[in-house]
Amino acid sequence: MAQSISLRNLTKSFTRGGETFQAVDALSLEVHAGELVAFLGPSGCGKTTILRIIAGFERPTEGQVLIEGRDITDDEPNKRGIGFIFQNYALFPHMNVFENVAYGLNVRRESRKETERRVSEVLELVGLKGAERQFPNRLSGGEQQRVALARVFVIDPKVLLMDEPLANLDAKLRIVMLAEIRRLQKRLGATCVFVTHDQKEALAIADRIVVLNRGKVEQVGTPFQLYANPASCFVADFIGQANIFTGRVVALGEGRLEVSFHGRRLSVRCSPGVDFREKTEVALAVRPDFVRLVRPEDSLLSGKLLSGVFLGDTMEYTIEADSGFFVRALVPFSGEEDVLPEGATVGLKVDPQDVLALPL
Amino acid sequence: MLPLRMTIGQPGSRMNRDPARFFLLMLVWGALGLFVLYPLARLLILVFYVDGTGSMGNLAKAFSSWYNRKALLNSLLLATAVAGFGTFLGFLFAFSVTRTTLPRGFKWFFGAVVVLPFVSPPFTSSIALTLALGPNGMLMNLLHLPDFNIYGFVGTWIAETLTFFPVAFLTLAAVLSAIDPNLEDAAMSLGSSRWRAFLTVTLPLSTPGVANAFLLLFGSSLTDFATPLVMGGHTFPVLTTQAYLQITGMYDLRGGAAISFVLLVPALLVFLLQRYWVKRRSWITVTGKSEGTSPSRGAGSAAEKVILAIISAMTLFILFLYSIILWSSLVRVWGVDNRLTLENYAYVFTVGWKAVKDTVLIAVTSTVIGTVTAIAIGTLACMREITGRKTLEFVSLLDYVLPGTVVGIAYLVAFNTGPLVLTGTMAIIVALCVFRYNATGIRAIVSSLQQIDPSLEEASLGLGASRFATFRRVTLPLIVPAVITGMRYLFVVSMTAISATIFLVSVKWSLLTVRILECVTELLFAQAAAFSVVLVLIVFIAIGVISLLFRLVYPETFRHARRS
Repeated sequence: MAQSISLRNLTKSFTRGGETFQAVDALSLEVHAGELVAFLGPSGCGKTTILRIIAGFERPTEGQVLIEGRDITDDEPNKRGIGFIFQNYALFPHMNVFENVAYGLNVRRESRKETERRVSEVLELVGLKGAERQFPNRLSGGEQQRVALARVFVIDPKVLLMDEPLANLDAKLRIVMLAEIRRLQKRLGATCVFVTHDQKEALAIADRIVVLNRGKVEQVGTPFQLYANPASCFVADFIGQANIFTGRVVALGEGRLEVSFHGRRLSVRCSPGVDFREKTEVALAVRPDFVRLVRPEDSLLSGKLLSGVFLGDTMEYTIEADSGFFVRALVPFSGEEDVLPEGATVGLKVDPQDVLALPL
Repeated sequence: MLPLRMTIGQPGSRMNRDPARFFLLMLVWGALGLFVLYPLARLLILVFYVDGTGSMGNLAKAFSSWYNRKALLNSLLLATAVAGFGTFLGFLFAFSVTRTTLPRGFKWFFGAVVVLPFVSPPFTSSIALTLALGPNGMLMNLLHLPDFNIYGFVGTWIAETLTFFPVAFLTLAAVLSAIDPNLEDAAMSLGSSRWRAFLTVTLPLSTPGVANAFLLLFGSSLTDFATPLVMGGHTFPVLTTQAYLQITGMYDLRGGAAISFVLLVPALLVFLLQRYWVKRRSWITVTGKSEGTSPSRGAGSAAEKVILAIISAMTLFILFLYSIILWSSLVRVWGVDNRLTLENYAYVFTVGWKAVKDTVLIAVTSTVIGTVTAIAIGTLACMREITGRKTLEFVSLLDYVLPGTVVGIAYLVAFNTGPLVLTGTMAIIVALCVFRYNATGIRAIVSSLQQIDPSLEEASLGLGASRFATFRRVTLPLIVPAVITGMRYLFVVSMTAISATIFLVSVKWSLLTVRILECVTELLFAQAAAFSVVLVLIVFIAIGVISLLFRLVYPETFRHARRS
């Protein structure tokens, strides 16, 4: 059975050159049994440190780690039964594939027959049958990744931690391995924490995403929730892209706000659970794909097109509005003849429904 | 125009278009021929050429004596014991510095104390041991051990281990810090205990390093001359001292040469093993990607305490020995009249002044000439279009690989008679220092040049800089750290070496190390200690001056180093 993970008030501070740095700052979090949670954040946000603390490689300065309700904060890593996938795989270079995968079983004093059976089973599972006698340095990045997965799966961990497992693979292989990892995790039925700085990976694989920034949780939610209702500008711009403007709260409503924006009054959406006060500044987030470009006479808001970048399926335009702010717009590509020239005057249209008010 | 490492290989044609480089190449080959190959050839002829034909007679004669056979056995026994114990100690120190949770200050302190023997004259530990454990020694009186005799195997063993284990420490520290701590973490998260992770991951991965350290120490002990001369006594002859005594005591150059020749076999074997066996078995590849942020796991508190206890005791012992040297240089008669005095230093600066002056002059000259030579050989050896560049590198490292005694005798044989007579001059000592000790510099420069991305030089050429300007403004600043390493080493060994130079000193040119040896044989330990202290001070000052000089000339190199 999979097991839940609870982090309670977890804090880790480092002292470097006399300065104390909070890598993890009083963080509390629940990961349910059998769930795949992605820790998403920019580098230095503390996500790897949290993972290493759960695995027992590092001790928290304060706080506890509980697995299925049991406090394991002071347990040695080898007593935790947690599988860990390292960013650089950490395959033992002096052992071949078989020996690498059999390592955990040997430590557990499995019989030789049982070891051979289980290693061959798990190598079959990851598609590496026949590579038993190869040494890690002879394998490709994707194969090394599979060995690392096999080495952990063979001991049947209830909790599986992955530290940027796809960072060293090329873009195409990454997509293949992402699906593979999801498949294997489901089959194993383990509770899984997946650390990444790549929002696409997180969106694609996770049941829930924890967005981290400076050692703190910014927001927790399903990929859809985070994309549709980010709770902060950081999340709005980190998951997907966002134009962020500044407006002023005029009146409060049920799930809506009346804001003034460059002399105009708009009724916009606000994320549930965020408090706003009247007459304060507020951030207005608009996804570039919700900005429509129209003829200048069809819109109250117009601007000058500064640049257009062809991205294959879309065109990304940057527009300087007449009021002086900049707007990014993503427009589906419909043929070379429809591409707008630089310097053109265009009208901008956004449905107020697509504008989200966020705390500044 | 100066040579530049070429990245676009155009064999032959380039060469002719660059006569300056051709001239330099010829100059380097000429010097190597004269100061490396020629002396060795003369030595070979002396040993193996009897009455017009090749013969093993001289070797057979040398080893018909049971005393020399015993010396051979002793040499091997001593080398094994020193290598075994020294590697063990080196591993403990290296492990504690790279793998334990000790505070950084402690680690720095252990590292600093351990390298003390590097900058000391070769007799330091012998003198200190004698003063502590010899007849009338300080510890002898304290521990009431009147019958204990430090001279012989035990004394030589301890003194050599103290002198050489820093080599093992540095080698193993580099190896252990290159092992990704994630591997140990992985082992533990798969269920291994710390001890098991050490046995199944850390130890197997460091085995090539351990073997390498063992071989290095074995070779160092085998060819060491200073320690057995002082500590061995009559009961414990070894090959190096026998060769020396044969030549200086019995004026039998041929016999001494034959004895020293036997050293070559194990010494070359060690070199070959190191080069072809250890290298091939190395698991660790330096990827340049350092996982510096993840702190090491530690060894477990109980094991850590044991290790800490051992290395603390060792560190204290080394400090104790060094303070004995300092202390004994400041008292009248060690153990008898302990009143403080500066007499011994007065002796150094009057009677011994010439040796101080000569040694510094020789060391400075050797360092300057050696550095220029090392840069020239290093850059030539990295130019792909030069035929025989590997041979060039090998020949330039040859004297370094060979035992000092052999090289010293070869120089003595070659430049005593024949077309070029240099006996008794400063030139012969300088030549030996340059061609024996710039190996470190050459190797550092070569590996540093190999790491420079060729596109850097191409970028400079593309921006319109000439080859010379490119060398001076791009290549040279990048290899400055390697050049400094080589220079520092060259200066230190020029100051402290004895095994080869002892055959070349004369009335006109004396060396500090030889003066120290004379003091020791005349039982003037206080003066010997004062000489040693002065020598260590000069070495430290010189190291500081060299670094400062480069900091002034190449500030950009150090800016870069600081940032990374």
